[in-house]
Amino acid sequence: MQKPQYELCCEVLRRLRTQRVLPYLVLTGSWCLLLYRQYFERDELFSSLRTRDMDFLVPIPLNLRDKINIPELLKDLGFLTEYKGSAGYMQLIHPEVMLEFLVPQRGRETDRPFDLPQLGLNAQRLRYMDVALMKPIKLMFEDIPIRVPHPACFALHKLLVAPRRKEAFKRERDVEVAVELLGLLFARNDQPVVKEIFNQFTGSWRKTVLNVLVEAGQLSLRERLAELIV
Amino acid sequence: MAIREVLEEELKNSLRMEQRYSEELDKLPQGSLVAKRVKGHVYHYLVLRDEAGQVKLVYKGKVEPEEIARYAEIKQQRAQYRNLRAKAREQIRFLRRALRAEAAV
Repeated sequence: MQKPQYELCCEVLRRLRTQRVLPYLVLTGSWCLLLYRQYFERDELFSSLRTRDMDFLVPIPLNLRDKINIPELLKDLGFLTEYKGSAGYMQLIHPEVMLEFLVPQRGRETDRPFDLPQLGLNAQRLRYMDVALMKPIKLMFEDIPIRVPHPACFALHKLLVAPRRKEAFKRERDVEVAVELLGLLFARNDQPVVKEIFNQFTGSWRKTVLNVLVEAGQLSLRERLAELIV
Repeated sequence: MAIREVLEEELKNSLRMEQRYSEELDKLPQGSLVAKRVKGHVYHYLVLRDEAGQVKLVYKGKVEPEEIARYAEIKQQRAQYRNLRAKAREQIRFLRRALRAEAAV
């Protein structure tokens, strides 16, 4: 990672921690892969190209004691508020990093952003994000503890959302990352966690995951995963 | 790994950023406040460029400390946004070059 980008990310996280918001958030998206190097204790992992988006998942309901305004908190760092798409999801943009906030989509599908007045912004609702909240773990970003989804949740979530991706390259990337993560988890005998998460999935979710692996030609991985169903 | 698509997405993002920083710069009040000492008295002027690009001094008379602080803040913000816009432009140049090179392979 480039130095200015890394330093800016640290500063953003530090400010969120100082305002006592960070413990409520879960970092998701490709930035988690950087932190999973710690989990697997291997620095060479996940050197793949990463975009600048840094996504924070906000568990709802959000029981924050004090309100804070995140756009104001980060304004002096040069972040601008941008409204994305026709729905108007807020994004905080900076040439080094772009921050987005997500919440799990529950109930009927809607494009409407989810208002988070406690944080002074809105969030994009995304289906299946509850999976990322099933078993968060704490890893260190420099000296800052941050919650990320367990790699098993991350991998299974990627396989679950892959068929919903509009862009083929994103779909391929999701599957590629998920396969790599599951391979690493099985290699370090983390099957019990994968089993625990996978068995919390509904039958149709499990079917989707297994079908994605078949389509990707990952038949042995599909078998290993199918064997975990109780 | 679809490098081309990732680069294209990043290019779109940088173009959007460049536009947004330009918009924010346009919104900021023009000019910088300068203080001149004439015969022991301090007078404030707003320094700005006219449409022909000529530097103009506009007499502001007595200016409150809050106003001075506000102009200092605007000046700082303008410099920061210009830097960040320059960074976005640098990224645009880099990404366009990378996409051309990738297409040529």
